[in-house]
Amino acid sequence: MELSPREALNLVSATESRAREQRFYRFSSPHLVLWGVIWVIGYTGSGLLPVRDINYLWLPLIAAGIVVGGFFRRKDIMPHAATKAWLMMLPALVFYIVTLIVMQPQQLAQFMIFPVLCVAVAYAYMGIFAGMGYLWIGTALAVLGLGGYFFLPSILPFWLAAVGGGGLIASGLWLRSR
Amino acid sequence: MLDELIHQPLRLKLMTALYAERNLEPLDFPRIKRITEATDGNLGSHLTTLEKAGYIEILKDFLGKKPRTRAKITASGQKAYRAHVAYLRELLEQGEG
Repeated sequence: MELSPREALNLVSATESRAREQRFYRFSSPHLVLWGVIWVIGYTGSGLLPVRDINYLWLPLIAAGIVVGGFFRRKDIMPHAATKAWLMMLPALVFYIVTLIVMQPQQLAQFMIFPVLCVAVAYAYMGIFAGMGYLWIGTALAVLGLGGYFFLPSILPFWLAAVGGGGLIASGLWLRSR
Repeated sequence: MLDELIHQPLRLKLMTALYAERNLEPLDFPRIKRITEATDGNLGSHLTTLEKAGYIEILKDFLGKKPRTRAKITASGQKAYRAHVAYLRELLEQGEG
């Protein structure tokens, strides 16, 4: 069956879109695995350490994540991807900081769940533009995180380590295979 | 001028996928399949057709001990693809679509 010009150009457009999406998944999957490992360590430690020591765990973990993430830059896959990713995450980061200042959470559980929700929303938003895989990841993170917050408060940090951290690791591996 | 070799649904998708990655590393078969939604049997024969026309290059090497086959669009393939897409756009603008 002969392709009409319109059908052919639609095929071209759809294929270009899939190629772009694949490229973004290849670039971003190691970062998800990295941050998944950080969340596993951070949230597990948050469940085991005294509250006053939790920041001493998270701050170096986050710094390590940023430094190690820099080594994953793949200019051959996506020359400007790192810049674009930061620009996409920046509103979520600003929102996170400003909301903490304005809302002043009082409970440890609120401090724990809030970054998960911010990341979930950022991923869902990213999914709309960069690939639907991220929309599913963001949605799963939010649903599972909130499930733990409301129904498993006594083990919340360990729940977040498992479903948040473990979820990010699994998501990174899943994106690599898509 | 319509390039009959490229103007076939899967070959057009193949050329588009390889053109999109032309400045990056060659694409391996699993990635090509995912982008073009092709099956193994289909993919092999169409890639061979494009290779015989000089539009793509098939590269065989090893990743560790595992054999790997990848494809990359050639300079003449890029030229042919660009000309074909430009012609399609021209036809569409003329109301042939």
